[in-house]
Amino acid sequence: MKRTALFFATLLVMAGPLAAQAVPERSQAARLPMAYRRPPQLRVDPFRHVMIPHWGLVFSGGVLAGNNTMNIKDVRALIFLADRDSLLLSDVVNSLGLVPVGSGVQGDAEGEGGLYVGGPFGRHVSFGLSAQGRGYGGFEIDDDAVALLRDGNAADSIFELGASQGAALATAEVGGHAVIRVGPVGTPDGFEVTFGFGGRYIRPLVYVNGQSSIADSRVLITGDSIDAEVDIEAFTTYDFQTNRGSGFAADLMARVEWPTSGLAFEVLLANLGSVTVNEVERQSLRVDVATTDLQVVSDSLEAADFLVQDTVSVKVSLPRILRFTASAWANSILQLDVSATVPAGGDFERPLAVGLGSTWRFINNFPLRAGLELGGRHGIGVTGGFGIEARNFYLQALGGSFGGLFASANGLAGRLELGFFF
Amino acid sequence: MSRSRLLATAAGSALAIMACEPASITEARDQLARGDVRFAEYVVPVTIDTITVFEILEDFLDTDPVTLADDVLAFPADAVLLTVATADSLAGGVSGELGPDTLNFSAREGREVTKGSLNLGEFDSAAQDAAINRALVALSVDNDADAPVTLRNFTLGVVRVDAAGQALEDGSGNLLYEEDAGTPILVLVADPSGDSTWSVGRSTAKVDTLNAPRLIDRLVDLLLDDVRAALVGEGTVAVGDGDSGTVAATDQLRISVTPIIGLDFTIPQSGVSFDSTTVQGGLGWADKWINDAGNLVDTAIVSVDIENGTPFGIEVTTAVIEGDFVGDVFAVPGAVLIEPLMVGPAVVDANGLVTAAVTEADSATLLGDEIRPFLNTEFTAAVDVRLFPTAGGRGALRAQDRVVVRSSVRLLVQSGGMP
Repeated sequence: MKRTALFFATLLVMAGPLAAQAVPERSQAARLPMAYRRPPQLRVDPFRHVMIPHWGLVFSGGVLAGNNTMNIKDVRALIFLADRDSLLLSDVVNSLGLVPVGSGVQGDAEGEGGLYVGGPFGRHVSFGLSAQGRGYGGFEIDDDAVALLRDGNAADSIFELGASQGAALATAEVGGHAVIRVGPVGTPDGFEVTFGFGGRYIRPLVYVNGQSSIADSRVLITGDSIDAEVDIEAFTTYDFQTNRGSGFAADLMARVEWPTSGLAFEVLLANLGSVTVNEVERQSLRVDVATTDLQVVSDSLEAADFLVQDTVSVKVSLPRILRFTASAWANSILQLDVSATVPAGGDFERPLAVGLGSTWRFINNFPLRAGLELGGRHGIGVTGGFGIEARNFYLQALGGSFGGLFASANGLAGRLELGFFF
Repeated sequence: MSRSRLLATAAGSALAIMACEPASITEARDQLARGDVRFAEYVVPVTIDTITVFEILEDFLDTDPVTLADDVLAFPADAVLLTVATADSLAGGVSGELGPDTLNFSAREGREVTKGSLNLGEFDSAAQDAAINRALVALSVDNDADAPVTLRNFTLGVVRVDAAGQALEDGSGNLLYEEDAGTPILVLVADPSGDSTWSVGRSTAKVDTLNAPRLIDRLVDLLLDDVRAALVGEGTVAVGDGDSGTVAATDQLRISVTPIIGLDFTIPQSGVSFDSTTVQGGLGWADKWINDAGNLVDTAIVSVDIENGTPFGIEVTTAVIEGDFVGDVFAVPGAVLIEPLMVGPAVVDANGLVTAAVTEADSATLLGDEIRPFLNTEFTAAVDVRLFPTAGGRGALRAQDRVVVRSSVRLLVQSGGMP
C-alpha cells in the first residue's frame, strides 16, 4: 500500500512541464482535450461528463434496447395486427418461428437521462455533480420453454422454464465523480494516467421481477398425459415512488494515454452497488396439474392467477459494467477505438459486446463517427454519429442500429449530449 | 385509457416513425412469416378414458341395462300384459270349497308387440343380424281371486298377426306359432317341480323368470324385419286347491310378460353394424380463428390406442359436418370422413365371456381444413360402428367389460416461409 501511494505521489510530482514539449503539433493529443479523445459510448459511462474541458452544464440522454428475435418491422406488424383485432394464431406461430433455436428469447434495455454540472480544477483534477434517471430491463425466455411452442413436443416432451425471467428497475440518482490526471510520466513522451472515481446515491422508482420460484418448473407432455408443475413468483411495485428505498453505487476508472504515440487504454468498472427496494408486492402463480384429460389442463390454466402473498424488501444488484477500451490515433484525422463491455455480475446483466469505432475529424471540431457493434443480444450492428465541439458548447449525437439497418434492426441505440460551458 | 394501452400506443407511434407501417394486414402477416419454413409437431393428449360397456350401452339403448347370470348385461323390453282370466272365463264367480277341478278352463291371450317396445335404441340393427344366445321373460302374475290359481301346460309363443291385428291360425283354429325346424318355439311356464304347472297364491302376486333365448330372438328378428307379431300365452288355468275360497266375477289373472334381451350374441363373421348421429359441442372458436387454423395446420393425425376388454372387435367410421345437421352426414358433400379406426376383439371362453383384453393402436389423418368442424361451436358427428366377433362368433357383454381409450392428436403446423 505504501509503495502504491509513493508511486502516485511520484506521478504527481513528475507531471506537468514535460507534456507540452513532447506531443507533436498535429497529434490529436495536442489538438483535442482528453474529453474529446475519449470516445462517447452508447452504453452507460459515469465518467463521460466529468472529463469535459471547461466548467459547464451538460444535458444528456441515451437509450439502448435490443432483442434476439424480432426486428422493428416485426414489432410494428404485430402492433398493426393487434390494433385491427386481426392478430391470429398463425401470426403468433410465425413469430415464434423467428426465435433462434438454442437461444430462446432474450431482450434487454437500458436508458438514462439527466444533467451534470462540473468542470476542471486546474490540469489535474476535475469534479462534477450529476442528477439523472436510469432504467434497466431485461428478460429471457429459456429456449427449452420456447421450444414447446416453437418446435412442438413430438421430439422432446419435457419443457423447463430454466433461466426464464424478466426484470426491470427504474431509479433516480444523484452523484459526484472526480478524475485525477497525472503525467506525463518519466520522459517527455511519457504516458499520462487518469484515475476516476465516484459514487451515486440511488432511489428506486419502480421495480418488477418475475421468475420461477422452484428449481424445476416444467411441463411434461406425452401422447397420453400432461404433467405441469409451474411456480412463478413476481415482485412488483405498481407505481412510481421516490421513497421506497435507497442504494449506493461506486464507479471506478483508470486510463493511460501515450499522447505522442497516439495510444490510450482504459478500464472502467461501474455500478458497483445495490439498491434496496421496499414495499414490493410478492405474488405467486402456481399451476400443478397431472392429468390425462386436456380439459383439466384448460380448466387449471383458466383458474391460475397471480395471488398476492406479502410485501417484502428486495435488494437488487445493479448491473456491473466492466469495460476495456483501447484507442489509437492513426493520424491527425482518424481515431480508432475498440471497447469490450464484459458482463461482470449483478442483475440485468448483459452479454459481452464489442464496439469497433472510428472518429473522423476532417474538420477538427466536427467529428464524424462510424463503427461496428458485435455481440450483445442482436448480432452485428452499425453505429454512427457526429459532434460539434465549440468553445462555448458541445453537442454529441450517436446512434446505432443492431442486427440490421433501421427498420430491420433487432436493436437500436441513441445518445444525445448537449453541454454549455460557462 | 389504460397504462398498458397508453404504452402500446406510444410504442406503436415511435415505431411508426422509425419503420414504415405495414400497408395492409397481408403485408403485416407476411412480415411475421419471414422466417424459414418450419414444421412444428405437437402431440396433444385428448383423453385417456376407461369406458365400461355399461356406459356405452347407456348412450345407445333406450332403457337402463340389467344384469343376468355371469354378470351378462341385458335390457328389458316393455312389458306385455296378458289377462288370461276374466269375468267370462270365471263364469260369473264361485265360492265355497274350491277343489282343483272346480274351475278349470282353457286360456289363450295374446298382445301384439311393437318394434319400439323392444327399447333397442340404436342397437337394433346389430340385434337384427345377431343371434341372441341369452334372453329371459320376466313374469309378474297378479291374482285378484281369493283362491290359488295354477297354470297347466301354459306356454308362451310368438305368432304373426294379420293386418287386423289378429293372431294367425290354421284352419282348425290352432295358432300358427313361430317354429324352428318345424317345431314351434314355445316357452313352458312351469315351476321347477317338473309337472308343467305354475301356481300363484290367492289374492297375491308372483314373479318369475324363464329362459327364452330362441323365443326372444325370433320375436326381435320379426319385429326388426317389420313383421307384425304377438306374444301369446296359451294353456289351462285351474282355480282352487280344495280349501275355501271365493272368485268374484270381476277378478282377473293378469300375466305381465317382460322380454329381457341379453347382450349375449352370436354375430356373423362379417360383423353387425349400428350407427348413431349426435350433435356435439366444439371449441367455439370465432370464424377468423377457424379459417386461420385451417391454413396453419398441415396435418392432424388422430391416434387411438385401445385396450379392448369386450368380446367384440370394433370398427368405427365417423363423418363430421359443421353445425346441427339433420340427415345422412355420410352422404353430405363437404362432410369430413374420418378413416375407420379398428380394434380386434378380446379373447373369450366358450360362453363368449372375456378372458383377456387385447390392445391395438390405430390412427386417422385429417388434412388442413378437415379440422374445421371441431373448432366450430357445434358439429354433427355420425358414427357407424361395426362389431365383429372372435372366431367362435359368440360374445357376451358384461358390466365389467371395458374399453380403455387413449387418444391423442398429432398436429403438424407450418410456419414461416414468406420471402
